[in-house]
Amino acid sequence: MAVTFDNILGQPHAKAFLNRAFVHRRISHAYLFVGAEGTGKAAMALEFAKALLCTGTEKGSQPCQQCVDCRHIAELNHQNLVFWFPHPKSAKEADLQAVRASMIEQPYAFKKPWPNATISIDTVRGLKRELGLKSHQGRSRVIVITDAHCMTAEATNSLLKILEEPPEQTYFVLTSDRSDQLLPTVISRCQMLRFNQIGVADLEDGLRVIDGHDDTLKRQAARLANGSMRRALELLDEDMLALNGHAVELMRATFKSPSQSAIFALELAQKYDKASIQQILENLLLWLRDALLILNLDAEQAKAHVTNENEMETITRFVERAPLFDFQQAIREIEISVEMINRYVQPGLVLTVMLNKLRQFVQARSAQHAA
Amino acid sequence: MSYLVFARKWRPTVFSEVVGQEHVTVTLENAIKSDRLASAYLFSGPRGVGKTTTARILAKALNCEKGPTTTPCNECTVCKEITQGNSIDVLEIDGASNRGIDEVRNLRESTRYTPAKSRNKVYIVDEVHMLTNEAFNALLKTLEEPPPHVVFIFATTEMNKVPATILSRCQRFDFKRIANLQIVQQLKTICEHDQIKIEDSALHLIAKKADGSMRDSESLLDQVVSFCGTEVREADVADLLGLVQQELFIEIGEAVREKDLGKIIEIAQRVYEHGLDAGSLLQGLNEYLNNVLKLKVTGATGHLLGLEAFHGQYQQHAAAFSEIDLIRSIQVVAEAAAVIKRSMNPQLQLENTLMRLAKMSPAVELSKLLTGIEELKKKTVVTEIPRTELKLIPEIDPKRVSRSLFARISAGQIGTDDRKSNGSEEQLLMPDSTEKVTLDEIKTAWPKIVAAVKAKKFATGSFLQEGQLTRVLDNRIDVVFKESNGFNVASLNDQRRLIQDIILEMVGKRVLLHCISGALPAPTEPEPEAQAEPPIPDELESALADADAEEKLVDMEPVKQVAAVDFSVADKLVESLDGELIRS
Repeated sequence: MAVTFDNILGQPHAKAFLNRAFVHRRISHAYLFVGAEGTGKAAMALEFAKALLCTGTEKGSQPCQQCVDCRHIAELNHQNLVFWFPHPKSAKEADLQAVRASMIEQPYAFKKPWPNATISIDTVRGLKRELGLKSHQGRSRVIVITDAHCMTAEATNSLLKILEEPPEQTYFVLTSDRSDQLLPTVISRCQMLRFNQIGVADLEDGLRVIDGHDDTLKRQAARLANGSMRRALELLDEDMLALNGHAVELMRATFKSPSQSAIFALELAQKYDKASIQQILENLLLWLRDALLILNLDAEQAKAHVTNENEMETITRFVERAPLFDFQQAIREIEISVEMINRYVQPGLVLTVMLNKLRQFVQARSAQHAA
Repeated sequence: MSYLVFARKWRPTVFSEVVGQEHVTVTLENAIKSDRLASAYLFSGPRGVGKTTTARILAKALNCEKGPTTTPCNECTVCKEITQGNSIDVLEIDGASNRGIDEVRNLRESTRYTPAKSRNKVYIVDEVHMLTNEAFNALLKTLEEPPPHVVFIFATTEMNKVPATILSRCQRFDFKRIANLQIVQQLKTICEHDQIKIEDSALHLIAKKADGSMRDSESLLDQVVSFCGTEVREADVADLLGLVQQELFIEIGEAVREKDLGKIIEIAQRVYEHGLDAGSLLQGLNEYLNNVLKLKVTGATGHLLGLEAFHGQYQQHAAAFSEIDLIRSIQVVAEAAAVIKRSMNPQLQLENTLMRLAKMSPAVELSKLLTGIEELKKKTVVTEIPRTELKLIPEIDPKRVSRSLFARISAGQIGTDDRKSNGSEEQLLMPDSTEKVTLDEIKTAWPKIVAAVKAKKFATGSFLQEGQLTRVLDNRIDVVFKESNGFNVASLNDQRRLIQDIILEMVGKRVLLHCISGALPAPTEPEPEAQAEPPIPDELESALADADAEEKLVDMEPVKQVAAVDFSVADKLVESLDGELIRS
């Protein structure tokens, strides 16, 4: 008797943990899955629900994925499954349906079209009323709350009592990529499971079954996705190589005159949308990491760890030209830029400012070096 | 029946079982014994320390069929009903869900009716901080003078959100965080009862992670037991909780000491692959550094609880690093820990932080640095004659004053004036001023110089461009700026060394750059720059200047006016008191 969660990429840790909980028959009534976006938290929550509710096999063993219950859970319309995601009150039913459809089709590409939406206290009150009744067919109930940090303060607080002492056979699974925004009183009531970035090899496995795109492209996507399957999938749909090229060009622009780099920044901002620019910046971070490794390690060691293997020469040249480049500050600046773009500051402006700062790091340090 | 987590299974049912809150339970017991119960209580404290639990016990103690008693029986129907949460006289209300004024009005209505079958009507309002303002205010009257059979018990984690008018009507009990040892004791009892074998060090780990909360520690124990079964080892706990084991910190400390960057990357990689949380790794690393520092400072190992196996390594590391380096490392790690939480690429941050630690050069202790400076001062004491003293010395060391100046002084053309020291002092700052530079020379080279500065530092170059090259005096170049450009002057003076180096490169002579913010007719509050070193020499010195410079002087009429006042004594004062000069 074991539940192996084969559908989930990577996460050996979380899989083993949940499996043991089934084996030892010590399933807690509340779990909190935390980890970066695209690491499979929601997907795992559904698999967990299947393991609890599957009728195709013996209770508490590998879900069959074929029985009515398993299929209904996969389609998010099981009667004993509650699946929440933050959405504005005014959202149309069709839009909500589209979000659900994206989750059904590919759990890792769960679309979140409303970045600032919340889960309101009314939703929680509704749940409490429902939980006051007996469950359908008297079986287990699973409540999946994705992005639990998006609950309003009122909603979170009103969940506390029921989260601590739910009726029998009720299981909560909360997921969040910002666990620092959750109340300590919530965390204290749950068993917290950490979801890590998915390894490159696991991502490649996951991408293999996706139709279209050739293998080299998939490999590249896996490397650049920073451990997020969702990111990897998005990368496949974007012109990934071009984006990575732009990251290098951004770095080059720091050696050019302010006006030239400003023009370059504005061009980029015109050409790409917010998400792509963020990806470019993320690639830039990876590129800087490579530079840091090349700077500090000998060639052999560096080669084993770098992301952009085929660009090692360019990176080496950069390291030589700006030997005292302040990586700490640069990384900070880039991360701030990403956050600003997230907050709807004009990307062109953000990029220009960022390039100016980076130029200072390149030049100030090299001037010091010369002196 | 489905599995019940430890936190619920082991919820205390009598006062004596409540861990670590004696100041509350004893008080309540005495109140019951002496029949001095208040009509409203407020329990506050961090999560999971026993607020709701104590509230329920108090309700039972009041309503138990054998009571009122300090030890509710937990067997009579009333007690059982309270435990199950379906007593009609003890109402446990979720303040967060029922937070509006309407709910409170209903509650007030219901207080008027006497209890159905027990002595008191007890209202337990949990998460009371979430009530709306109106709801709180609607409660006030009832709360102050409730019917005799009513007892209110409020529980909250955030007392600061409860209005003062409510607080003053309640007896307040602040629940404390529970000491680690008490938590360990309680967990041990649970494990013994459930026949779970667990290492003491594992319990310590759990207690530490729980941060004084009993529920947290019980949830963690639950988590651990559901993973490991009936035998739990420390390594499992660390692994499961994403805690980093001591060995890893020792290893990092080792690599930092050896400055082995390859090893550091390898460790970071391992951390990533094992799915350890970079943030908690840094937190742990900080704790480790702290422990080493404490060990170094106190020389005692008493604070290393549960780390007995590592005393040797700790001692080695304490010997290997200096105090100041440890403190600096702690700073670096703490900064990184704050940043990493919001970081997109935690692995990168982690690698960078660890590499920074390894590359940090050992700090020179401040005291040593100071003695060094003192010694240096002694050696160069001759060059540091204060201006006022100079006044008393009629003879000026001929070697220190430029030849022409000395010649003129000795020829009796000029008297020794204290203000001259200004010039000579600045000259002393440039020991290798052998060749004099002329204004023409500088003037022709000026555009090139500005361009060169611009190439090195764009901003500095463009600031410099604004200035007007006015004259050269004993290898001191005066550049005058409009008064509104005070900021430029300040930043130029910061960069003086850079510009001087460039001039040396271009003209081949070492000069002293002097940037002056030309104040127009005596300003009420001069630029700080102007106070620090009265920039404009007096007529006397200008008389000494080259003929070219004298011509130029016409252009700087306004500047001269400022200089006409003698500030030398005031300057000295300002300097030694680190103050600011305010002229009236």
